[in-house]
Parts: sequence; structure tokens; C-alpha cells
Amino acid sequence: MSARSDTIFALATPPGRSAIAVIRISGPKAHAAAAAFGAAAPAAGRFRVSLLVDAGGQPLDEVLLLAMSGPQSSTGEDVLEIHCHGSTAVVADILDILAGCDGFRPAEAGEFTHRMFDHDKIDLLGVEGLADLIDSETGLQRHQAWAQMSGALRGPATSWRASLIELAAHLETLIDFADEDLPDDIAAGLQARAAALRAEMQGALDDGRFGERVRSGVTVALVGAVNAGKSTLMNHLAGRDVAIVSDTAGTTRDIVSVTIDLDGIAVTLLDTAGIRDTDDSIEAEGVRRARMAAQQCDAALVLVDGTRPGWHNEITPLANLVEGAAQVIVTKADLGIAEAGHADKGPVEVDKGACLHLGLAGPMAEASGAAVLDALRQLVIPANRAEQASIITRVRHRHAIESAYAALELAFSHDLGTAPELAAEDLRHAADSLGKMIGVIDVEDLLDSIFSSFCIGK
Amino acid sequence: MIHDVIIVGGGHAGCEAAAAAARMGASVALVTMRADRIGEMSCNPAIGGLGKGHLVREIDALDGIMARAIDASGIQFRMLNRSRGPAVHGPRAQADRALYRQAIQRLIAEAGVRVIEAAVGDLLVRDGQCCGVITEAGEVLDAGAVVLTTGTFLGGLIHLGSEMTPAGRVGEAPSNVLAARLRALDLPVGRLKTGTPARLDGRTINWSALDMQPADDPPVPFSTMTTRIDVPQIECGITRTTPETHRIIAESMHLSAVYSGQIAGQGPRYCPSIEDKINRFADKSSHQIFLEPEGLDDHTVYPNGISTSLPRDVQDAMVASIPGLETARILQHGYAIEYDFIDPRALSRTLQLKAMPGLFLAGQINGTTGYEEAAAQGLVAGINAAWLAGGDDRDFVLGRADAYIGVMIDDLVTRGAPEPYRMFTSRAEYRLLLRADNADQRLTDKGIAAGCVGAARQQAWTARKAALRAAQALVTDIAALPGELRTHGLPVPRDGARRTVADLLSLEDMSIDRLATIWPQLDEVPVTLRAQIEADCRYAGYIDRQKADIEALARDEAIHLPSEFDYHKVGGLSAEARDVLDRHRPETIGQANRLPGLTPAAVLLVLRHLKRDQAHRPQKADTIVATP
Repeated sequence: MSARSDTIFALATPPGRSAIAVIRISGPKAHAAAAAFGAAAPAAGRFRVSLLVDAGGQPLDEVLLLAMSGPQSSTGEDVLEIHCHGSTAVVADILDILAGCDGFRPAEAGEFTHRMFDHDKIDLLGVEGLADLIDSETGLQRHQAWAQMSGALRGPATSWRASLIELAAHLETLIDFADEDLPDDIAAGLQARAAALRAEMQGALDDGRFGERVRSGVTVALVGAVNAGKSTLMNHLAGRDVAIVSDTAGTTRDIVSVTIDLDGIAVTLLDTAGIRDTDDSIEAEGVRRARMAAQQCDAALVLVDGTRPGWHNEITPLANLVEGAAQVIVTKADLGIAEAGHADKGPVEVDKGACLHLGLAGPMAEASGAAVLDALRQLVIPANRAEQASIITRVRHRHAIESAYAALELAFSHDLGTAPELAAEDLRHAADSLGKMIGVIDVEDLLDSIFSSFCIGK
Repeated sequence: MIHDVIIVGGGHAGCEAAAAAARMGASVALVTMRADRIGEMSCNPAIGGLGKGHLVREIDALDGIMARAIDASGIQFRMLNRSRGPAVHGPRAQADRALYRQAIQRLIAEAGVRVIEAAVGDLLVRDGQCCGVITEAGEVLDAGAVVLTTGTFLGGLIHLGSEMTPAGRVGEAPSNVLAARLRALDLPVGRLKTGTPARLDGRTINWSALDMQPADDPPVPFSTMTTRIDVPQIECGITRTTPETHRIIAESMHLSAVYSGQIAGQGPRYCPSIEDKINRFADKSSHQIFLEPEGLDDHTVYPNGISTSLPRDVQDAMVASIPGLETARILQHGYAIEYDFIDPRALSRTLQLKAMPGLFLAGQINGTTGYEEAAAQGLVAGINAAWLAGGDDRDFVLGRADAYIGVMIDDLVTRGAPEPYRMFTSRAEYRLLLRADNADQRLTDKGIAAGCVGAARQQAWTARKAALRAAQALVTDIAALPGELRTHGLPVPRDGARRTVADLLSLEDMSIDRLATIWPQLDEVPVTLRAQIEADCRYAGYIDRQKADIEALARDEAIHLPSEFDYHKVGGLSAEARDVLDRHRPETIGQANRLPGLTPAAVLLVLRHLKRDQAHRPQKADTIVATP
């Protein structure tokens, strides 16, 4: 990072044409920036409509200037916001003039947020929550990000850490005051309190990773032979009943993805190449990628064409490609299932759940669509999800809490009478794990990685 | 006459400082008011304990004198926490006070320390540098460096009920002239308080009514240079306060110097007076008291656990209410003592006063309590004073991952002493590494490099180190598969993994003794090394895990903050953070990390500024810093 004493600026709104664009300036000289445009900053907490002029005195734009003084500002420093018209040319000229001012430079990625953090305006978990809020696409993601910013995880984590430190303190009393006249029940009390703390942490961990799923979304691959109806199903899911959130052509030539909002969870559907042996090198590459997608996705829909004789023998080899949860779908039921006797048996040889028969054309279409959505929900939304959004939203959090939990468990596996020093060491480790998660200690590496995920101006 | 180093004070800090400076080759004078009281135990007649025992072993590893003195005078050796892991063992011994004094006086004489009997009244200061002392009689003693170890003598004031007597300890005059002089120097001076119980006549105690506590058999010496304890071992008595004791104290609480508001100084929470205990733990109906004889030929008994500043008649009644002490005669009543100390945040980690080069402080003057804490500081101050006087610009600094001594000094200079500072094992974050049993492995080579280790110990350590290496090789060489181990009754899973003796020693209740029944060649490991090897193996997994932390600490400690560093230039630093940094002027980024009131974000800002601002400032040559 460059000097923290510089005044930084950046366009805070998306580039391009718009009604209004906002340029944010933060740092010791922020208020003085107005003078570079022949204007004056309003008093802190006030706004003013001003005509900005360039170095030659020519009008640039009529803008709204908004001033805040540190430390009572968004970044904790002096801040000036220029709300100009959303013209590419106006914005470019203003940024150019700012860049020419002494002690001013364009902000680096995430630098405004970093300054908020440096001035204790936000803590580590808050920074992550803010990033999630900005990235949120579904209502549930927004709700969860906001909860994290407001301390949904910080609250419990801080209290667990305090409990761990308290447990350690009691244990240390047993060690350091062994020659004193201590009550006999200290050790027993510790066991009971540790058990209660473990239960609390377990409760948060045992959320089926719902929070992480909400935050980062879920990938579901559609796997099947050529012409099994994968694309039809995908189009159906993308085009009806559910809202398309984004529609990107696959980065590979063979996989097309669509992201849908399924009850607040962003579900990315991957339409893969049909699995078959082939001599065509291009198609073979597509098949290889399809197999990889089946292996790496969070869940899969395995499709077989029910009109083909012997379809029931195709299920097992396909299902075995999938590592995560899978739902088998026998398609084209509206055209009549071949060898229908197998239809009712279900795929006893497949442990991936019962088959779903559906036809996306004809009279079964509505019911089939609803059935496949239900199946998707069962695949991606854990049965034990809490009523409220989960407080664990990142793998980083889960690892820290799991590590603290494991250390706590290990601590009380020692005999407190003969090895209290090992138990104390484990408790220290547990408290450190949570401390790192909250951002109390040892945060530099983490900070760099977190702040680098921010875009300029946020 | 000009000395290299002058030590003011003949207590535990002063003696250790004098002996260390002398071992370093400096000419040393120890100035004290009474030569016959050198090495006196003013309070309880014991050395060591939890955390404190570690300090004594570390002093010994640096060839200090405390461990050898207690080995020559200990009358009841006990290993505290013996049933627990070796990292929290606390070697402790009660001393025969006269024998201890004699041993200390002999050891400093052998080291070549010159003793001058005088009261020091002033410091000799030239160009802001301390270069000697002036006695109250007006004699000028020049020196290259001065170590002040005033204990409780600086402005000492004894409280006994409502009686107040200026004194350094009972019957001895305080250092009031020097105290006034130091206050005039604009140093951050504060007041602390400590207390001592009444002394009893052992011949008037009804020992037959008491439980007795024996010494360990055999006694484990403090010093690796001691092969055998020759002093006869005695038992201590145990008794308890009664409801009657509590009633007497509660009724007279307002007469206690501590509770009448007569004492301003802060006392230690972990060493409360009996009136404190009864006031703060009202639900506890009885408190334990150890009756510790002060010597083999001395009938004085120290009742450990009833330190007090209540008036004499209340003390008489209180003692008489305790089983076994019904007819006990008090030889000397208990009292509280208040004294001046200097906020140790005014010191660098060499224990030199930042504001006055040439002046080092050690012991209670730095806000600590305890003989061991004092001696450990004396040792560090003595080494650094000898270097300064000899024109050597190295600093002898031990880190938090090196030694309890390092932990203590870092705590003092970083956090100050809001109450008298006592060592605890829980203060050491690398407790499993910093053990009483491996002090020599951690420190003796550092001491040899610094020059404070004499020839005899160097020789002994060289031999011991070779034996340790051989034993370490042996326990990692011998290995067997689970099948074989299980035939010997060892509880290992059948996982096909070869396990070395070192691996097996990490299991609970495993010892070299037991494994030697399987592999007789383990009998070659000398008995004196076994505990050390076993402890290393027991904690190996934990210590490996801590390595990353220790490396991070070493990195932070290696980044020095220049003393003239301008925190105003650090952009983004809050006014509060800047104030904390300006006031404390941490020496390293590691120390800044530990400053109370400083957020990690603020330290990060300083670090970034430093990295950008400071290409590479030349560092002092050969600085000994934390090297875990």
C-alpha cells in the first residue's frame, strides 16, 4: 500500500453514462480539493451546490459538494464527495484535475475500506460483511451480509473467546497457586462450563454450511448422455418459475452456465456435454470437462432418457461420476417410458436417492417443473438450516471455529490434575483461533487478502 | 578510586548484579549501609516457588549465585506441582537465613566484589550521564556505570497499626536523601506497598498439635553445579485460622494501616494480608498457615499466610486464636512497608534508565516483588552495566521466547507495574518451552557468548551438552513397530507406524526408566538428564506448533523502532494511538504489539510507515536479541 498520509480519490459509482456520478475524496487535504475547481467545501456535515471550473476558468459542471470531517466520517478522515452529472467526460476531467493536485493520488483497490478499518470504523468481520453486501445478488445474501456487518458472528465469537480466556484463567489459577488453599471444585466447574461452550459452538457449526452456500452460491451440474434432455431442463429452469440472475456463456466451449435465485440461494446450473466415448478430439475434451464438472460440483442432476431401452442400466455409471449429492431424473416421461417395469423399482443400485420421472412437454410439464425445483431445493438447502440466516458465511470462519472447537475438546481430554499445562496450552490455541477470526491478533496477511478483493471507491 | 561498576544495595538484586558484573571482568564495588546484612531475606525465608523457581534456574544457567546459595542453605526442598507436567514444576526451598547470608557473602567475595559500607545520598551526573555516586558522608565514588537496587529502602515507611516509622526494613534506616534526589530528577516515581507477618518464637509453639509437612526426599538442588544437598532437612508445621481469628480481625479492621487509609501505595493482589483475605473472601471460614522455621539453630518461625499491619495487641490476640499458637510468643510484630519505585516503563530492556545513560535499576525499585525477580533483574543489569562501563556497545536482552527473565523484563518495560509484579508461569506464553529443567539448554550458551559464565560452569556445560546430544540421538534412533511394542505391554495402536523412544515418551506416564527395561542401552542416559529428555519429548508436538508463533515474534522483535521515531508522521494514526506510542516509545514492533491501548491496526500503520520510511538503518553490531 502506498502512503497513508496521501489524500486519495476515486469514482464511487459505476463508470459510464448515468444521471449522477459520485467522486469520493478522503485524506487530510480532502476539503481543500474544492479550491482546485474554484469552489469552496461546505462546512462539515453540510452540502453546497457549486459550479466547478477548470484551470482556464471554463465551467466543468454544476455539482453537489458534501463534506465530512474526521474522525466522524465514513473513513475516519476528512472526506469530500463531488456529486456531478454522470458524464464520462465530466468525470474524466474532474479526476484529471484531482490527480494533478499535490498530495493527491487515485485510490488503490479497497483503500477507502482499509482506511475505515485503520480508523476503527469497521472491524475485520465487518469488512467481510461489507464486501458481501456489495457483492450480494439475492435477498438472502443481502440479509446475511447485513447481519454480519451488524455483528451476527462477532457477538457470539467474542463471547466464546471471552469464555475460553476465562476457562484458561481458572486453569492457570490451579497451576500457579497450587501451593495455596484453593476450593476443591474448580476443576469440576471447568468441565461443566467447557461442555456448555462446546455445545454452543457446535450449534453454530452444525448449520449444514447454509451461510456459506448463501454467500458463495451452489453449483449444480446437469450430467447425462447426449440428448438426455439436459439443455431442455436447463432452459426450463432458467426460463420459467425462477428468475434469471445472470446468464453467462460458459468460459469453456462446452459448458454453459446459468445462475438462478432459488429461495435466496444463488444456484449456478452447469449444462455439460453429453457423456459418451468418442474419437472426435474436440468432443472428447468436452466430455472430459463434463466429468470434471460432475466431480467438482456441489450437487448434480443425473439425467437419463426414459424412452431408450436399457435406460436403467445407464444410471449407475453416470451417478458414480458425481462426488456430491445427486438426483436422478428419468426424462421424456411424456413420450412413454420404455421397459416401464423398471420405473417403479427405483434405482436400488444407486445410493443417490429415488428416481424422478418427468416430462417437460405435454400435460406433465407444470407438475414436472415444480417437482424438479423441489428436488433442487432438497439438494442445496440443508434440512437442518436454522430459521434465521447462518452466522458462518465463509470457510475462513468455519475453519477458525472448528479449530477452536477441536482445541477446546482436546484441552479437556487431558487429566486436569496431572497435565493442566497441556489443557491450558490448548485453550490458548482455541482463543487464538477465534482471535484471528475476529481480527484481534495476527491479521496482516489476512488484511491484505481481504482488502485486495475490494474495488476502488467502495 | 574509580570502579567500572558500582552497585547500590546489598539485597538479592544488588548481589546478583555485583557478582555478574565481576564475572564479566569489571571491577565492582557494592555500596551498602550494613555489610553484615548482605544477602538478607527480609521477608519469608524461602527461595523459588511457581514461576520463581524458573527464574532461579535461569539465573543459575547464566552462572548467577542465587541457586548455589540456596543449595548451600536450604533446609526444606520441595518441588511444587510435582504431580503435574514438568513445565509447571516449581522448585522451592526454605532457607536457613543465616546460612543463606553466609553463602551469598562468600560467593560475592569469591567473585572479587569490593564491599563499601556507606549510605548513598546522591548520584554523580555529568552531561546527563550517571558516572558514580556520592555518599551521605560526601565521599565521591566514580564509576563507568551504576546499578541502583534500593529494595524497600527508598523512602521506606513502616506501618504497624497507626504507628509509622521511617525504615528500610525493621530496625534499619531508609534512604531518604537518595529518594529526595531521585524525585528531584523528574523520574516517574510512585509508591508501592508490601507486608510481612509477625515472627514467632518456635519454642513456644505447640508443635505436637500440628500437621507436619516433610521435605522431599531426596531433595532436588537448584543449581546444575550442585551434586548433593548436605544441609539437614526439616519439617514445617501447618495450622489454620479459626472463626475466632476472623472475628478478632474483622472487629479491628479499621485499625489496620491498609484499611485506615494511612497507606497510599498499591499492594499485591496475589499476596494479600490476612485482613485483605478476610475482607475480600468473607465466605471462607479458614485460611491455611505454614509455620516455617527460619533456621536450623534459629528458633524464629515465619507464619506464612498471615502478613498484617494490624496494631500489636490485635496481632497478639489473633496469633493466640490459632491452633498450636495459643501460647506462642511474638518476637517481632508484622508490618506493612511503603516505598518508592520508579515506573519501569522509563527503562529500556537492558534495565538502563532511558533518561539517564549509565544508571541501571533492578529489583523492587522497578516495581517487582520477590527475591527471585530482584536477582534476575540484577543479573541482567549487572551484565549490561559491565558492558557499558567497558565501552562494549552490545545489549544483553533476553526475549519472551528465551526465558522467564525475558518475559518479566518485557512485561515491566512494556506494561509497567500497576501492582507489585510477581512472576507466574502463566505469564510465559511459551511455557512448555521455558522450563525449569532446560534453563541451561536455553541460556548457558548465550551467557558464555556474553562472558558472564565462569570457567568451571563452561566446562560442566560442555560435558552436559555432549551428554544431552548423545541422549537425544539415542531416543530418536531406537524405534520399533507396534507388534513388538505391544508384546512389551505398551499401549500403542496397531497402525504399522514405527515409533521411536522419543515418540513413546510423549505418551502419558511413560519414562526412560520404564523403556530401559525394553532397551537396556537407555540406561546409558545419565539420571540427571532424564527429566529434561522426557519433558522435551512430552511437549514436542506442542512446541512444534508454537514454532510459527515464536518465529513471528522473533520477526517482530527484530524490527527496531528508532528512539527518535516521529509518530506524527505516521498517516492515519489516531490521536490516542499516537499518545500511547509517544509515551511508551517501544523499542521494537513486537513490543508495540503488546502495548495496552494500541490496536493491531495502529501497529500495522507504524510497521508500514517504518518499512517505507526506513530503507535499512544500520543496527548495533552483535546485539543479542531474542533468538528462539
